[in-house]
Amino acid sequence: MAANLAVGTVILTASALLVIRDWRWTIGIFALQYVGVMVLVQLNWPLGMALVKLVVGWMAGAALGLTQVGPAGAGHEESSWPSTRLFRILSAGLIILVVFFLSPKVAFWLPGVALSQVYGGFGLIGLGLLQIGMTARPLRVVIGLLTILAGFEILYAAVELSVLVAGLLAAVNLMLALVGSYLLNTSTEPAS
Amino acid sequence: MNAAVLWLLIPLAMVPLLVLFSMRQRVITVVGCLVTGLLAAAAWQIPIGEVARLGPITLKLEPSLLVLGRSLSFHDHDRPVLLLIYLFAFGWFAGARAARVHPLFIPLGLGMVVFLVAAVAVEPFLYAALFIEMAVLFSIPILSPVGTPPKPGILRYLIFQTLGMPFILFTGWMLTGVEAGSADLTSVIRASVMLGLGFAFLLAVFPFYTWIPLLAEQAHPYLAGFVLSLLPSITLLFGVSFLDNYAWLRTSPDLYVILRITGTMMVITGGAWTLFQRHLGRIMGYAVIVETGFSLLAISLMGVGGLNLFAGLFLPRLLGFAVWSLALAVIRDRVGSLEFTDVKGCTRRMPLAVSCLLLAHLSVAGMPLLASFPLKYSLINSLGAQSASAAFLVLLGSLSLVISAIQVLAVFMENPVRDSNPPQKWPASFLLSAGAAGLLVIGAVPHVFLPWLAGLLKAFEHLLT
Repeated sequence: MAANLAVGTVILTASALLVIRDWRWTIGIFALQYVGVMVLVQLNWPLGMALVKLVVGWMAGAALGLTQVGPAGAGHEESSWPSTRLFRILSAGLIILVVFFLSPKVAFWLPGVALSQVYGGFGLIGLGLLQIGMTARPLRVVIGLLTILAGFEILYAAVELSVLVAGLLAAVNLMLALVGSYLLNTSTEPAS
Repeated sequence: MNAAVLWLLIPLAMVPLLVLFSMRQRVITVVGCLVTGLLAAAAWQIPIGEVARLGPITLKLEPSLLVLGRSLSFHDHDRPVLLLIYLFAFGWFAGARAARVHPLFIPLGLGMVVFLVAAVAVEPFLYAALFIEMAVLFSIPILSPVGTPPKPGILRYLIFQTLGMPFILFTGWMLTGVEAGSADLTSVIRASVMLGLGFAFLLAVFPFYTWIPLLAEQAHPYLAGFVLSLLPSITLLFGVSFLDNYAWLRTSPDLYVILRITGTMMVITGGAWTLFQRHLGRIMGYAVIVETGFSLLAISLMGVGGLNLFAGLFLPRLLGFAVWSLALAVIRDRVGSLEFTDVKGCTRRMPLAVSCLLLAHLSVAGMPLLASFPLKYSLINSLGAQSASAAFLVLLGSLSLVISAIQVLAVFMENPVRDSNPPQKWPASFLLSAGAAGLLVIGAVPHVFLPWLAGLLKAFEHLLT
């Protein structure tokens, strides 16, 4: 039950990240996404280690969000036509359909990985790929990449239990978020 | 003392210190060169796992450092790789002031080098993908300095390199089953496709190389040269580690055919595209693609001495791109741009920079008497024995690079104009001259350098037997 809820959470949040343009909502939804990721990772990992994913995701969100706070961030609201939003929703729907159609077959290739993890993992990877394919904005690109990595980590958690790898993946996530913050900062004119 | 402390932790500890002093560029250049120079000297002189005497000091470097159940290990056969990496960093840092790059280059460049060295040391070797990704993340502020909005080339570079890591890590898990012999043919094919995709992203293999010319155009040429020389070199070594570790992979004849086709495609397409460029940085970017293609071809010729060619290509490539990048940096600093329309007439204004740029360009193209020639000549000969059409296409790719060098020369000689700027400063002139002399010396006496470069292969014991 919890795993199914988590799948729903990660799929819905990743889809919402595609559509919503306000950075405040984006960061909030991004943080929520990691709750789902933590629940799915926890199917194989002890709770303490799975919590690392949640903390790392929230810290990444905080790092990205802090860059947007203040007058510099206000100028970076993204506007989009209703047709663009509709296109994004339809594309996300298509990806979700493909993921739900293919996941049972893919799960057969991945012994040890639960079907809910395959749905969640591939859902995040697919929607993250869609995200980076549709934008050239640093915030969106980094969120897309973090979403893809989160999807991969759900699948990888089932096959790799090494603490070192967990630590290195956490470091990669945090560094990616910091790079994102750096790129957002350099793209913003300093407030006078 | 532990080898990992010497070659990883000490330089890593230097990174924040250098960042603190980044406003004093002279100081960080000296410290950066000193650290990398000493580490290169240590790799040259101090054996790992044996007692060594350095004057009054007796020292024994322990090979392994345990970290959370895994290890960072340096063996004696890793010393040539360490020497090459730290020597490369030393040379590049020495030219930083002459190239007039931003002050964070040396601290962040050192961080990038440390993570790539960690990629060589980590066991199991599959985790190297994580360290390569960290090195990529360290390189982003190098390529996109403060005050410059991130360009599409940088973002594309970040995306492609980040996408490579999960493929490699997941393949590692899939390969465990394949190596144990418990997998069927479908699993082998699946693992191979995943592995191929992972390296296609990491090495910017055809058709995933669009970010390279973009990056080379949009970033500072010296910094782009640093990243585009170092990163593919370590990734190639990582790729050869896969062949060394997995018997089924290195005994698969299909792999070598795929590598041959991919390498040929990269050389011919990369070479041909240089002919249509109007930006000197983009030309260097396509040359990087050609070089990666040559390395893949060398691996594809493993059965006929290709590995020695693979190792031998490292030095000409690293030196060639160092000279090329520095020359581009000097020209850009003087002219303000690397567009053909802006560099017309540079021959009279900067004869040394232009000559060195062309020398490096021709060396990478494999012209006789220059550093790459003996190796590329042998490579094309060996390739011809296996596939005449592939050898012909590779020759055509190299020829395209030569023609593009002639094109560049023609642009440089157009409309000579008077230049009121002062002449080049001596550090840049000295470094360019030394690099160009190096390209000529390696081309003239390759047999002096090749045995040392063959030492890079000692780490791959299964491939050598």
